[in-house]
Amino acid sequence: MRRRYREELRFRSYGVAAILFAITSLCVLLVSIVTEAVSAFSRHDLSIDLYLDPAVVDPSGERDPEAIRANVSAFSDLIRGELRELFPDAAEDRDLRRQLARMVSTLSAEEIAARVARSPELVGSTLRIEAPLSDRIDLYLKGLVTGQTVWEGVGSADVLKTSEVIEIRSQGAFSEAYRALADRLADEAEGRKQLAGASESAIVRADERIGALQAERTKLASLGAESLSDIVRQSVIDEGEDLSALSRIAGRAEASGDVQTFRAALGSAFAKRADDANREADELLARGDAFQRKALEAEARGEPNAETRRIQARTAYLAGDRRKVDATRFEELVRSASDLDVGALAATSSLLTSRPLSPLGRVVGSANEDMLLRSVKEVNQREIAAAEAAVTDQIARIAGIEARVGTLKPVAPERAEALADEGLSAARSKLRRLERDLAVLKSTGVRLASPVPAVSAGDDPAATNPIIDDAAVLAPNAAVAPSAVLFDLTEFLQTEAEAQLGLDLGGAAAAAYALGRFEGGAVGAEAELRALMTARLDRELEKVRADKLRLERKRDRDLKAAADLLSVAANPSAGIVLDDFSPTLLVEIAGGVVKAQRISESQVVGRELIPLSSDGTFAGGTWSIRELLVPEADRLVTDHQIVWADQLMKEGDIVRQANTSLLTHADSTYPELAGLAAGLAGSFWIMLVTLTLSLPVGVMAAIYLEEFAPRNWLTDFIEVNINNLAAVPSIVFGLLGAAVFINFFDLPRSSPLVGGLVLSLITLPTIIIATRAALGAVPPSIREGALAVGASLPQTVFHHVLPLAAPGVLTGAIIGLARALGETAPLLLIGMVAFVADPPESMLDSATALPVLVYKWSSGAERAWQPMTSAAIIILLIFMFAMNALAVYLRRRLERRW
Amino acid sequence: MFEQIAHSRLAVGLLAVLAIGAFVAFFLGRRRAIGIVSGKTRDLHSRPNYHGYLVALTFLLPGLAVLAFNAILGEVLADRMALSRLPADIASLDPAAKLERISAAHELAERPLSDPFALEGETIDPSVRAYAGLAAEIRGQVKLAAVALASFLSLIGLAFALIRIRRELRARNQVEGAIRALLMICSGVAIATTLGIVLSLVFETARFFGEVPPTEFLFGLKWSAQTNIRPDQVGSSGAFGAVPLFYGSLLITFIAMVVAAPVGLFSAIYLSEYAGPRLRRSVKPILEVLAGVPTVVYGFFALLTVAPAVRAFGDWLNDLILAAAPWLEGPVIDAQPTSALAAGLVMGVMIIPFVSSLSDDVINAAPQSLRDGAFALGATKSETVRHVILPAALPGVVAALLLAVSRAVGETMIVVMAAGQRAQITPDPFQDVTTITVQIVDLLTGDTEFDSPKTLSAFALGFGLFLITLLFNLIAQRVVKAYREKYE
Repeated sequence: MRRRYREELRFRSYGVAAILFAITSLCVLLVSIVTEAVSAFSRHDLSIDLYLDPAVVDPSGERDPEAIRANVSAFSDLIRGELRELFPDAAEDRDLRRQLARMVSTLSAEEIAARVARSPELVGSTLRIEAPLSDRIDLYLKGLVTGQTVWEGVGSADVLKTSEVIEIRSQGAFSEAYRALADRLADEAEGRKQLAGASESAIVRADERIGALQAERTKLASLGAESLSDIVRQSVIDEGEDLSALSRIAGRAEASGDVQTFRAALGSAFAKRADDANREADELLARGDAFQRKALEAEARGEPNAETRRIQARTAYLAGDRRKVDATRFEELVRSASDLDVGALAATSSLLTSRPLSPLGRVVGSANEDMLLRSVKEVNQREIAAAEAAVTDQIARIAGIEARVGTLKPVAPERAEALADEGLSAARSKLRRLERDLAVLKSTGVRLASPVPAVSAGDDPAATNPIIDDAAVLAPNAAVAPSAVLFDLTEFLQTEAEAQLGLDLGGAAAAAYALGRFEGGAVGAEAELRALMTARLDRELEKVRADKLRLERKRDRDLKAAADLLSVAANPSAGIVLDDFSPTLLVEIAGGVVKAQRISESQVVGRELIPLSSDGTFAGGTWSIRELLVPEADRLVTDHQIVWADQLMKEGDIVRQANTSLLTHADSTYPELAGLAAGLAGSFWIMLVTLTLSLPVGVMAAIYLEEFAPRNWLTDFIEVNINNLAAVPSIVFGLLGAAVFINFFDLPRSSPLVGGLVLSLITLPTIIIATRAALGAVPPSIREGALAVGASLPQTVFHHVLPLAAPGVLTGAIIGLARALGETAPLLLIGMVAFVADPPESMLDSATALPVLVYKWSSGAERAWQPMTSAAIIILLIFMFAMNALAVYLRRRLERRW
Repeated sequence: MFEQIAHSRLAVGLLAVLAIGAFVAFFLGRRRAIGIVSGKTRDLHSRPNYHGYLVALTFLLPGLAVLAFNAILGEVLADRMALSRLPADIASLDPAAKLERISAAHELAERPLSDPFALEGETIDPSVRAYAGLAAEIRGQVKLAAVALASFLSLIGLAFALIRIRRELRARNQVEGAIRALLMICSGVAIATTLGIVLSLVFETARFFGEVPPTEFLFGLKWSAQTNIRPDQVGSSGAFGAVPLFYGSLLITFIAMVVAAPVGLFSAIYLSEYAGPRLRRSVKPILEVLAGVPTVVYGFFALLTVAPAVRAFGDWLNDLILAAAPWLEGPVIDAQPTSALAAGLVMGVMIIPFVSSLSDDVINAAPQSLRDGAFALGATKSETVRHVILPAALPGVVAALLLAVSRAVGETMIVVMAAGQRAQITPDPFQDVTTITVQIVDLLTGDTEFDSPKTLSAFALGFGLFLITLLFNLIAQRVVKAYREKYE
């Protein structure tokens, strides 16, 4: 029995828990949005007296409203000038001036200009203006940028002012701030230790990988020729098709002497490219035609997108023409491929594989010798120039890093060390490598300049040949080009291979080449393959080893940093150095603000953000310490801007007031100026269309189904249809709108008309179902009474039943409209997300809607968009709840019970 | 002269005239009807007002029909006529230049006469100007013809209707017949909508399958909707395998149902079996509020509150697992900023009222006699619910859940905002996935052309979505209907 009661209780508690869960979710939703929205309903304005200097505002002196309105920059200059007067020390430095100017919203001058343009007699007078602050400063003042801790200054403080720094001494007064910082350092040390742990496990993994690679390398030596070639073939196939195939054929040609196949393959490769280019060109041209046609149609109807279409058409035509040129080039190459002599083919194959001129090249007749030499020289010159440029670049980069290390050293020695360790050493080793390359290239150049002994055809492949040797020295950096055409072509092939196939040319193509040689039965090809694979494994090994080394150094550095941080935190007398990445510590003393650069328990050393009036000794309670928890590097408001904003706030130059622009402004790319006016107007038009379409149609359809329709399959079908439409996802209606209203009927995109049409289709089933319910609730006695006195069926319905059902119909319609007001997805599909700067004036203008603005703003990058989105949601919800409340009220008020 | 007509608001004017004329016609008809029986309206078959309505209708309809036809096709017709009389100096140009000239001319023809053809500083080719004049002229002629025809037909209609008025004319029946026809047309809108949806989806889907094989779409595992210019382009070709999208939709729907099904069902049981009328009255509206919140708001809620919380939870869980099992490598749970779990949870909350109100109906529909029988046997309330009511209501509950699933699959804004963009098949709910609806929005937002597989694929996806929801809805409706009939 007790068990049954317990069970009963448990079952009951499930129900309570379920309801509580639902209610809690609703509360969390509303609370999180409301708390986020609160800050958007007010904003901070800079409120100062502005002298409207006629010489600046109206240089022509004609008081022409249009000229004044257009002269926005003059007004923003005036505002900036005013700010600079308030903070004269900021005027010295360019960076500070820019920070100061950015405190005020970029376009705030526009409204002032408009105001003065309306009453030009204001020019020359002093005007009290209220200019919105930029969103970041606004957020800071609302406390959304950084948390703060303030400590009253206890005990007297001695201020020592030198030319560079300010030193403030006070026995023990800084200990609390110091300890807070030290705690954070300890936290950071803990984080560093964790990082070191992560590095450690990565090192273990690297070790395993090294072991595996080494095992593979040993295994390679014992592999048979066939399985070896299989491995290579697999890796070649894995890495890409086009070029590898060509390289393989080249290799086979070289091994078997069958040049014809290679020639044919090269020819067909070009032919394929020519085909591609031709096809692409045709497609592009056709696309251009289509756009051109659309442009015409759009223009004929006076739609605004005609110009866009025409530009699209032009772009397509241009691209098509370019591809046509490509195609002709390839066609030429197809023709020349069949004429290429052995030497050119050899050069091509070596170009493809980026490897030294192959032994095939050694059968080159002396006819090509000069040409080869020339090209090698040319390439050599180019390479030298490029290498020299790279060396100069690298030297400049190193100098830059050194400068950065120098500036970091005094403030953050450990960070500077890390930079020197990681960045500088890497840069230096790269420089060394570049210099070595340059030296090799130069020595080759010297050798090339000396006369070359003749090469005779059919030389022993093993015999040395200066050109080949030089080419070997150049490789793999230098490509040897027998002719400009070929050079062009192979360069194209290579870039395409790299871009499209993600092919590492040196690796895959060379492997394919060697594989081809093996397949062609070349002597020693097996050894070559083996060497190749070994080399690849070695490269991989080298990479993993380098990774491991890097990880080890990182781990050691992290461990050291953790130890350092802990020792600093444990040693109060030494003090902590603060940089951009630590919390900001401000001392407000003597009418100025000092930013701490080093802090110990009884001393702060820093620089002035706002100049102190004097130095000397200040009594306890007259000064304070403030910590901004978010480091300067992690926020968009600088320390300077923060102290300026605080100063302005203190002096009453910044006022906080209701954010009226939220309702009066249209959308903007600046959160502090954006408003919902356009969205409200758009939603209004959409609702108007929806109401005028869906209410009459819905009510009439419901009347037909409920009162007139005969019971037959057609009526059943309509009913099933309506029930289904009520459950079809709204986005499908959006698809319908895009395909039918926009694409087929060519109604203007993003217009309230199309939006209203789509939403009225969505609302229709709701209204029909509600109306039918309301009609069904009217008792049959009413109908029978009317019919009994001789009224026709339509008379009965329209004179007696419908008036009685009206409250229910109205309630249903309002609820349906409220739901349509919140609908977003279908509106996105018919283009209502476009940026709309002005409220629409008719049903055919581009418009946006309230929920769409919510969606758009929610993806805004700046932090200020979040409160704005929440505020927009609140306004949307207010409208919806008002509509629902109206429906409930009407139902209560007009409802009749039978 | 015709140019002026082309730019005039003649048709709109006629519309106004027709509207006023209808009033006049009404009174004319009414007066004539009364006149025929010399005031003794009792002798008429229909009351004089009905004669008035009939006359007004006969006056209005022909004119309106002509004007509607003109509004839809008039300008197209005129421009086609103008094209057939294209001046030789334009007709002889090459196609591109020809098109350019024609479009320029048609644009010119649009401009009202009041501002001169050439704007300041704008130079217009004389041949274009001449042709524009011609086009405007023809447009004016067509418009004038339409307006004349409309007025003529309306007047004929008016005269005909007035002459027709007799003592025994069954005017009421005819007017009522017209009303009935109007009502029927209105209820046909539902069918037209369904037809429109099906046709547009099928048509565009067929075009899509003309370019991408259906097998790839249905069974392909890789989704990367891009248009490849070249058929055999290797690097960046589009892939249209929709499986990851369907999987994403299902994963999120599953999570949502894990939340919504028990909560909705238990709250429905509690409200219908345990709660007193006062509690019911206060809790139900709160659940309805939950249903009335727009989905874009839920989406923002997911983005603002739930997704960060889910991510923090995932990271915490990860640390916990790694602490308990240090031999595991790397992150076990790699929580993403947007995740299937966040979207699913919020969607679950959104669906709760849906499940609860449907199950509430179903449970209430179970006859009281079942309960009384169970109680009489000494069963407790929970036993009655579990062993009697729920089994009896099971088909209805299943139908309610099916409807909720179909709703979750089609839900858009929450997943667009909080589920992510990555098309992947992963069992890990902390990863971001993408769904059918997200991809539809993604593909069709912005300036869209209806000629690339990229755009068309959205319609194929929409078609799939439509079919899935349609299937669920039909099954659910049938089950509910059968269930209702069983206990009625």
